[in-house]
Formats: sequence, structure tokens, C-alpha cells
Amino acid sequence: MTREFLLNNRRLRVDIQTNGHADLVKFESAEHEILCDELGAGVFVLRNSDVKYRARVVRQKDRIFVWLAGKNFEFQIPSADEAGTHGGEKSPEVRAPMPGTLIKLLVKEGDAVEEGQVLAVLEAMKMEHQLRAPLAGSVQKVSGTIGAIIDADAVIVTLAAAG
Amino acid sequence: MVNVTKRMRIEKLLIANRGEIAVRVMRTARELGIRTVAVYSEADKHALHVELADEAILIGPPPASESYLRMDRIIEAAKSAGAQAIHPGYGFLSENPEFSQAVTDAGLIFVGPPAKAMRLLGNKIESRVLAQSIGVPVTPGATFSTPDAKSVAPEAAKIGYPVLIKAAAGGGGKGMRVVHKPEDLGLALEGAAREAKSAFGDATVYLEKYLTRPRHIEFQIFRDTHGNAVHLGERECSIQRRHQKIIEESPSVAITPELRAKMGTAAVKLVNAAGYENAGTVEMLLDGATFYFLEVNARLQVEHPVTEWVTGEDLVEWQLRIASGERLPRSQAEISARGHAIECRIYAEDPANNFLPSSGRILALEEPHIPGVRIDSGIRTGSDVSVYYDPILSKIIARADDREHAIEKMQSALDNYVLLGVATPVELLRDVLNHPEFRKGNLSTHFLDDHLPNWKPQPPSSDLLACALYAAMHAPAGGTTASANGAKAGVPSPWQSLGQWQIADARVDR
Repeated sequence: MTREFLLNNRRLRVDIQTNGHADLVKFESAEHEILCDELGAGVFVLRNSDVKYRARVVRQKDRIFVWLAGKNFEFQIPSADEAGTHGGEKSPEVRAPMPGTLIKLLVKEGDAVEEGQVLAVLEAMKMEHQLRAPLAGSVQKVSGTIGAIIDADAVIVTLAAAG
Repeated sequence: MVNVTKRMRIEKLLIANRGEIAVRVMRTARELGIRTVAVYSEADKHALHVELADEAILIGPPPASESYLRMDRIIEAAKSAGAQAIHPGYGFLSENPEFSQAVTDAGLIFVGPPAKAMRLLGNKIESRVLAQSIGVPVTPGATFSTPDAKSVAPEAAKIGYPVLIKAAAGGGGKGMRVVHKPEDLGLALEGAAREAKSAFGDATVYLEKYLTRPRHIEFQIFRDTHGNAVHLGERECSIQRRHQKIIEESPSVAITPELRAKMGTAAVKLVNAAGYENAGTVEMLLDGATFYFLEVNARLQVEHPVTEWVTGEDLVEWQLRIASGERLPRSQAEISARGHAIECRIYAEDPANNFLPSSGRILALEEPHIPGVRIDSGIRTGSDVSVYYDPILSKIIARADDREHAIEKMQSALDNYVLLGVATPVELLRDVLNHPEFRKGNLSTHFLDDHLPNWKPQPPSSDLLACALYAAMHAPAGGTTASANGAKAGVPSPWQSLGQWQIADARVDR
């Protein structure tokens, strides 16, 4: 069985096969033999090379949260249309990093902006967060309005790269 | 002198707060046989403080300005529930003198200082003037009710850069800006004033000299309505991010018994001069062996449990007794500290991503049960962390005979603290506690910038990642919180088969 996950933008292709007494987990160039006991829904005890790990797992929509031996992992399940695209290029879309209220818009359509320039200010949990231009260029579209409650990941400003 | 103040007995207490502090206050109230009334906004219908209170009253829509900051609705709730007293917790209305006054005017007991003392001490400017007048040292600075660059610039130049701008009302790092160059002053003032206005309804800002490597030391004080005041020793809260504390401990490695006596005496002198009542914290900056008065927090602090654990006292109980008109439970000579306590704050935020707040649902929660570890929590599995309020979720407090063992106990608690669904700083906290400079006690308010700049979690070993991936592939299909998957309608996704595959695999395990 093969699956793909994203972990902090790292794309991981995982293959699991059983060899009769344990499961073989392969990803990148690594291969691990893992024994697993499922103690309850999302509660696991895993053994990898005789080291025992306690794990808790929950899934929410396309995200899988794993707590393993004191470390947290948030795996993203790539959506069908996302599969195959690759990161690396800076997106011209400036998105809200979390939900909040848009309290300041510092640019309008047509404005030239420099990389790192503050474009808008979002307030969430009583703190202000500046949204900066990821690249130099011009403002193509401003999607937010002052005072509006913005969802996480909503596009607020769309830029057109310079040159 | 015979005191004739009538002793009032609180039988029912309204807690004008939410989250872990509301729950914390309720626990002591219950212990003292006091019935508790929670207030809540529409966003907190299912919150833990609502569940645990004897009664709960809805006071408005989610935004704090329409619920937890509505004095009229809170006082009305207290009256309709038949409560005799209101505990404000921290944040929200806790340091608003108008609220203290309004509660008193309504014939209720405010569990905190009277409006007059709060006005004087809660205001960073007036409290500085008072401190100076009684010989308590302060850092050089000035205040501006209409903060514009033109009027502030000459004063900033006089004090010398870098300077710190902060909201004159309130704390918690809101409205705070460090300015290194004159040309940055304008924008920083504007932002600080706006944040101050939105958080406290007052745009007045305070400008002061920015000490580059100070320790943040604060003294817990109590003063009763009979004019008796004591301090309960210090807390060191030097580990901060964005001027907000994340790790606190008591005692501080930097405080000798002589310095403690000196600073404690200064703190007591200050609250006496202000005619203060109830619990308060005198915050100071320590630069070498020189201390400067910073401000008074006219309320119970987030980090009060570290003091509770080294002194063996229940500070909320002290608050309620003093509010009832009782005398201080102990004299200064009867107060002593034993061992070492340390607190880590668990915020819903991502330390690897600029400490951005993280909202969402707590999908799994397992709080460690370890002797010597206390957890003050405002959440349970299924709790929603909304964008409306301060992102503090819970606090872990560890206690042992000495600092080293308290740190180890805390490590063990953090290692076993499971919270899934929103980001938390648990891994950062562990890295701070493990840092050799932290172990040595070499702390300053710039610790994170100096020792763990641009912190990212340690990448997992291949062994660990293999297990995590294995676990992820065996994730339960998800309960009510999980909808289908990320795929668009009509496009078959490999994940639609995950449930079935998982069942098949579980059969193999058996």
C-alpha cells in the first residue's frame, strides 16, 4: 500500500508491506520494520528496532495529527489536483496565515510594491500581524475590506511579479 | 486599634472570565463552599468553565467587546444570579478601575483592588511617579496621551535609543514596540496606540529606556483592607516571546536573600503608599544587582501558581478572604518558601512560524499525571480554540526540592503532554529547558533571540519518522470533526479508500 503525505512542504511517499510477522515501511531511501499494537482508536504502541514508541493519531479532513514520543507531526494529505505540483516558487497571492480581522490595507490596485513591504495588517487574538509582499511587483487585486473577518488562507492581496 | 469593618461572607461568586483562570478560581471557590457563576459568550457555549460552574449565564456574542468586556451585562448577571462578589481573573476587565467601581457601586464585592488604587497603580505612568516619590528606582521614561512622532521624538532622543513604547493601560505585551532608530518612531507609535486602543480602550502610550539584557523579576504582594501588606517572594519571568512570558519560576537564581528583602520591602512600600488592596504584582527589571520598578499588575497573575507551590499558600483563597474583609492569613515572618517551582505556558500558537496564533479544535488531549506536576487547564478534548480571545490554553507547573529537579520534572511533563489539533510551543519549551544557558540560570528577556533565534523543531530521526508515517497511515477515519477528504466532488481520491484499507490492515494485526 502506497500513500503520499506532506510534512512541512516535504513530500513523503510511503509504502507499507507486511512480511508475515511485521510491517515494512519504506520511504525515501529508508526501510523500517515496525510492529504495531492498536490499543484503541488512534492509540498505538509501535516498535521499531526494539525501541518502543507511544503514539496518538487523529484525522481532521485532509490533515492527520500524530503525537509520537513527545513530538508532534502534522501530515497533510495532498488533494487530487495538488498532487504533482511542486513548491519552491513564491506565490503572488498573499494569504491570511490565520483567521482574523483585517484592520489595515496599505496598498491599492496598481501600486508598485517591494519584497517585504507591509501590505495589510490582520488582527487575531488581540495581536496585530503584518502581511508582507513575498516578492517585488505590482498589486493586481485587493480582495479584503477593512473590518472584515477573514478566514485562514483567504487571499487578501494578489501581486503580479515585477519584470 | 479596633477595626470596625464589617466582615462580609461570600456565598456565591461570579467569575468574569473564561479559560483556565476561570476554572482555577472555581476550584478554590468550591473548596471554600462558595457557589460559582460562570459567564460566557456565544463562542464559549461548550467551554470547560461553563461546564464546571454551578451556574452559567450567557452575556453576548463572541467578540470580547460584546461579552467579556461588557460591565453592565456582567454586573446584571451577578445580580440576577444572587452572587455577592465578582472575581475578574486576569485580562478582560480585571484592571479596569471603572469596572471595580461599577461592581462596588452595584453593592457587590470586587475581588481585587479598589478603583482608586487601581487607577493609580495600574496606570504605568502614575505608578512610576508614585514609586519615584517614595524612593523606589524607576527606568528613565515619559508618557504621551496623544502619541505622535513630533512630540515623542525629542523625549526619545533624550532617553537615548533603543526605546520601548507600550500601552499605558494594561499589560500582556499588547501595544508594545521596541524602536531602535528615530525614523522608525512614527509607525511604531501608530501601531502601539492602535493596539492599546483596541485592547484597553485607551491610546495613551508610555515611552521608556529599553534595557538590553535585563531579567524580569516580579514580587507577589497582598494587602488587606486593614492596611496590612506582605510579599510572597519573587518570580523570575525572563523567558519571553514578543514581550509575553512563556516560562516562569520561583525563586530566581539571581536573587540573594538580601536582594529579596530589599526588593520585597520596596514592593510593599509601594502598595502601602497606593492604598492598594488584594493581590497584586510589582514587576521590576533587574540589571546586574540594580533593580528598576517597572509596573504593578493590579490583579492575579497568570503565573501565580509558582508562588503557590513554593509558599504552600492558595492565592485565590487569600484574595477571597481579603475581599470578604478578613485580615491577611499570615504575617511576613510566617511566610516562607521551600523548593523550586517552574511554570510553562501552553498557548495555541506556532513557535516555528513566528508564534502565529493557531485556532481550531482540540482533537486529542492527554495531560500528564505526575507527582509534583500541576496542570491548570481551560480545555478538554473537543474544545474549540477561537480567534476571539487570548490563545492561552493551559499551564504546566512543576515543583521539586531544587531547580534542577524541577526542570527535569517539567521535561517529563512536557514529554508526556499530548495535544493534537492546534499548534503548541511544547517542543520549543523543551528546547529552552534543555539549553545549557537555561540550566545555568543565565536568563534574560532576550533569551530566545540570543540562544534560539528562528527556532525550528528538531527534524525527526528516520526511525521516528517511519513510526509517525506508519501511525498516520493508520489514522482512524475521523469522528464528527472530520468530513470526507480534500478531494473535489467526482474526482476519486486515493484517500476515499483509506477507511477500508485500514480495516483490512487491522485484521492483519490480529
